[in-house]
Amino acid sequence: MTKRVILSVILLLLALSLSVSSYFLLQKQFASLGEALEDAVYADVSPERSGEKIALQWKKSTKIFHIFLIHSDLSDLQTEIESLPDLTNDAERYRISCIRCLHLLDGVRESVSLSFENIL
Amino acid sequence: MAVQLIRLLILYLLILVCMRLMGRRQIGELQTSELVITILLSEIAAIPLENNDTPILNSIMAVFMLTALEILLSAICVKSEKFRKLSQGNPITVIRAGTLDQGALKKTRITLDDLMEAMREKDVFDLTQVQYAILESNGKISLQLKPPKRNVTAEMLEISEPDSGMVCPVIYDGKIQYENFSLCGMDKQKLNSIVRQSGMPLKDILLLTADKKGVVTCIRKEEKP
Repeated sequence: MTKRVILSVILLLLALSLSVSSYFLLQKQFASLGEALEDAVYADVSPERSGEKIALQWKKSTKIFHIFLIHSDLSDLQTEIESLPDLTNDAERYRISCIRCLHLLDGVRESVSLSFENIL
Repeated sequence: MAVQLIRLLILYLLILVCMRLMGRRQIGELQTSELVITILLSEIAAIPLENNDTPILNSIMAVFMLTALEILLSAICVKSEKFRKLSQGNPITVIRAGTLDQGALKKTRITLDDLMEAMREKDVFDLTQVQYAILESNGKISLQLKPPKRNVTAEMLEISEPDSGMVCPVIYDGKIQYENFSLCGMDKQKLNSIVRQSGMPLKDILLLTADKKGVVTCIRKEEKP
């Protein structure tokens, strides 16, 4: 009986640590991708440079997102980010698209936060 | 397709291991909490199998959590009677000293049909033969018959029956089951002598059982066509 109880505690700790580490991993990716998108919107950076940074960060983040997340906005976010290189010639459209990406990212971030609404 | 198969394999092995960890009660008679856990586990395992986009890690975490909670809950039930009563309930006597407790039947929402069915499953067709009937916390009904209706035992007839111990398999599918030797008073020398007397090589024996009185049953494997 003691062995099983110890095993159950280990399983519990494993589940909790997986949950906590996935939360922090996701938050880190949200922050990095958010920063890259904010630079494109607010900072005085050319669309080509910011586009490269966004594409690179998206490549890293998407792997983590697919392991831990399922959200309808992720596919929309992917579509928007992948269409950014086509908008580098039009700064205004590029900026609007980045803002849309930021909103989608915020939506996904909200969905994984520990809140009453998400639990219910 | 390959992804789905690998996910299926992972979840199958995970559920198998977790059901083993939770113990034999999961497979036999289920208490309320065990029934809930079993249903939840199967539902959780099915989610990533239906949709490849669903992360398998979420289900794995949930399975770990449920397994851990079930083991901890059952450990608390062993230590705390109050908690056990709270989570599993109490057995309820529906026939007491040969009299049907109609109030208890109403309280448990057991119909007479259910009671009669449970009795027939135990080869009892007459309610008047039952002295006690108890509705257990797992939903099963246990019966004790009135003394004149009970099976005759050796003690009643004042016959002393020597203990022949347990009949256990000592050879199964050509392999010797050493762990059963102590249960039936077997040893390697005796077994070799029995196998020699049977006239069969060890690999041809499907099943050989023995008890402490030395009663041996041997079944040969069927020849392949």
